[in-house]
Amino acid sequence: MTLRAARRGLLAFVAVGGWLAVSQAALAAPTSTATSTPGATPSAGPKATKTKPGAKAKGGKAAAGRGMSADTLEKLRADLNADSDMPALAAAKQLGASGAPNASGPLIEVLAVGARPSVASAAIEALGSLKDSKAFDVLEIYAGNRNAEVRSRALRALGAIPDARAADVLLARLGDTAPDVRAVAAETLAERKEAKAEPRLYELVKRNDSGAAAPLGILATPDTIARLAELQGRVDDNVLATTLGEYLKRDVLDKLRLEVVVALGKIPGAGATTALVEYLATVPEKEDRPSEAEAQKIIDQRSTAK
Amino acid sequence: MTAARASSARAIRPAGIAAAAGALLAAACAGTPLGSSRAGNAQDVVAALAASAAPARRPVNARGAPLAFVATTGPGGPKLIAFDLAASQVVWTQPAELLGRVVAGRSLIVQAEKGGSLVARDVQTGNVRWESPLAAGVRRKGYAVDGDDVYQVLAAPGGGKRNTFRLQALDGATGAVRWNVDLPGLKAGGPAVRGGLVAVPARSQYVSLIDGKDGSERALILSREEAATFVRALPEGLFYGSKGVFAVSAESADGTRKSPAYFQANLPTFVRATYHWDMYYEDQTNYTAIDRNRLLWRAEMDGPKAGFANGMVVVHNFRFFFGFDAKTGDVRWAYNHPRVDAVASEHTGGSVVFVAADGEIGALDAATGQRTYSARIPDAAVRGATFDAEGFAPASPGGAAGVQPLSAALASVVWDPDRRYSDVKIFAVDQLARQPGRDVTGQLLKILGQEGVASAIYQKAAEALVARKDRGAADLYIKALEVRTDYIAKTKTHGLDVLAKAAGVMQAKEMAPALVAHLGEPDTGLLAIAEIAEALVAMDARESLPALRDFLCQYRADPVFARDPAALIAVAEAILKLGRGSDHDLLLFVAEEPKTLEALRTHLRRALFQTARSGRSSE
Repeated sequence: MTLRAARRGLLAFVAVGGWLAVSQAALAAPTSTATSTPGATPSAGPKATKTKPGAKAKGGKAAAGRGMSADTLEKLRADLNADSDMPALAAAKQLGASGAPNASGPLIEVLAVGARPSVASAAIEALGSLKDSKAFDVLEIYAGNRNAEVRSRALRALGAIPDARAADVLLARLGDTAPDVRAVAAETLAERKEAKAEPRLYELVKRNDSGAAAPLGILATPDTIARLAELQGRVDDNVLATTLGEYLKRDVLDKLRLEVVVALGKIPGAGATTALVEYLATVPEKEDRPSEAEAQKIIDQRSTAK
Repeated sequence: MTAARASSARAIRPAGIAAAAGALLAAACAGTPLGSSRAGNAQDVVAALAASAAPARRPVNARGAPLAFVATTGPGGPKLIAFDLAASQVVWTQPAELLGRVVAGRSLIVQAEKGGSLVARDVQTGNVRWESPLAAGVRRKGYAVDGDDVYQVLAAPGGGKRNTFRLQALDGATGAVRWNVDLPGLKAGGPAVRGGLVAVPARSQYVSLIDGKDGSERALILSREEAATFVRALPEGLFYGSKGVFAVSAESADGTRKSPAYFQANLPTFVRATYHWDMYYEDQTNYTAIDRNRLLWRAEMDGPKAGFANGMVVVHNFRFFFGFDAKTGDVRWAYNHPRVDAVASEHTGGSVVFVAADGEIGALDAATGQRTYSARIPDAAVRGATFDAEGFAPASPGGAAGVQPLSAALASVVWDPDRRYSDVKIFAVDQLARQPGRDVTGQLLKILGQEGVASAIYQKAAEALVARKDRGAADLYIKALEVRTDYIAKTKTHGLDVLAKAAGVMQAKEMAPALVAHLGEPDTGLLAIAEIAEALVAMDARESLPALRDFLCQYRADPVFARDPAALIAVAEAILKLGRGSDHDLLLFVAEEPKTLEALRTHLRRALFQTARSGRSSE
């Protein structure tokens, strides 16, 4: 086959759709079970993204549970693959906002064949809005992207997907070398209430990683909180105060809260005071908590001392 | 030389001052000089050697015990300590500030001490027997002892900038001058003496052999091809040389390197090939850094042929000792002394004995490097030592089984925390890499994975790992590859490019999954990516195609790769070589898609065209 003939073949190939194992596997399956595993072949196109004969080209937000029209989808797909960023970014935004069950197809495709980081980021964010499990494989790949901003967005999008495998990716990224990426992974794990993140979050807090402080407060067990309190003096006061303060906002026994308030009282600085003030703000007016009284007492003492 | 007997120096007993120093060189001289025309005369050398008696292979001191004379410093002031190696105990301690090395005789030791005097002390007690002071302006080039006869070479200002040199014989019992001999020429070094024959290096390329009885010059060696900077007396013979060693014999009378009496070790570049200190420099008669970084050797004679005993030479390099095959330069053993420098050492025939700066005394089996002896002088800060311990060779504990494997000894050098010795460590890595076995591969991988390793050491280990093709240790390579960069675990992927290269060279397909996993890591270096791609091709790892495709698509339009597209190109090449039809379709798309980086597009177009053309040719 000549190069020219091969190019003609490519056009037909592109018209069919995905060539990546991941996009092919993800889009071929109604629910995502495929992974980018060795041995997968990119021979077939993504059926879900094919234009259905006779489909109407309608724009706008699709009703929940209803797919976008084929024409709209084709137009947005074309925009996503445009040479300039503007139409691509707009298309990604529109697809993400649509909530349509078939909107993820073009987004997965564009990520699968590759795009400039700006378009990739927008496509990832849109996938996060759609919360489509089919996007897991491609998001997992982008969670290891060399661009930290792209990684962070992929982690947020993964966090939104109701797929248990996402937690493992997020846990791994807690060890990312970029603090911002670690912070996003930590926040996302906390939002997902992933209890198994607690040991690694604890290690991060021990290393004064401020991005892990609040997430640990959300996930920590009472035992971990007790261990944390013992770290006072060895861990940055603000980091420790943030974790303990976040814990105070949780629905736990007041006895435990009281211990945390006492621990916060031993931590000097504005971070601990802020945590106590924020705690008081969360206490319902009619509720009488010993921990509240203790917190108020500490704040008063600090005010007097000033 | 003048030919009159002299007796101008007087003995001080027990610790008095010798005769007026200024008279030393003014005294009349003894001895019969040879003319320069006799230089290099082999018959003269043979006759001189025949008249000298070979010393016994045992300590020369009257105690008959192997002794170490140790110069120390510390809060109590400088001291000289005699230590019995066999009994592992201090024999005596005397306050003494040494300005020169101790030289041991039968009933006395001599050394230059504070003030410049040559001081003789009783070997049994350390008490001063006599002192021989230096006159103003006179310098001592060196001294030697033979039994109880003491010899020193003195230099005094002559006319203009010239010095005049004199060999002086002193009576060991009294310090009285037995005779003086003027040495011709403008340069002379310290003496060595063996069996009544005194050897003095002179005028850079001569060695004068002088009868210890009367100062007569018996032979004059002419070293034609290299300077004679030292003379050395050993039980096995007299030696001279500089860059190599000549055994004094008929064959070396006109020293040429082709002489069978000449020998020189083949040594690696890190070794400072100091066969002996330079005896023209009087500062080297004192304990210096040279004592910590030099060669330890003994000789063996086979008729006219001379060579290193057992074909070995030992390198003392501060804290490290290496036994080398003198001919091939291969290391046979290594010893790493922990923490502190060995400040003095000596080859006793069967052992290498040493004293460390903290007072630890040790001995190594000269053949195997096994530590055979350990003792300690308490509370000592040692600045130098002299051994009179000929033949001292403690039994090896545990026999041959107790010998540390060479690879383990070399590894201990590599992992030594002391950062001063990078050249030694580079050598150790180089030698380690030549050793077979999984353990060695494991050590090299450990170097590769270690934070803060000097780049030269890392490079050596890297080269070795690629070159050794240790397929049997593929599991160790995989284990190294499985280390990921993780901020929490404080781990970091190191040497990935090297590991990939090694995997490719070995065509170790079992390593492919571990390599592929790094393509998806954000911190994987661009060089490593290219090496991984090439390795996957070398091992024909088609199962890696999905990961390669993912990588190519993910970054084909990423401007970060615009400046250095080599990694992307390598991945595309790997897909081209490993892939089939649909992969080539993908590559065509990447080549044609406008957002693909221009360098990648250009490369792919060319590569695809060539592939298509070669496909047509094969049809």
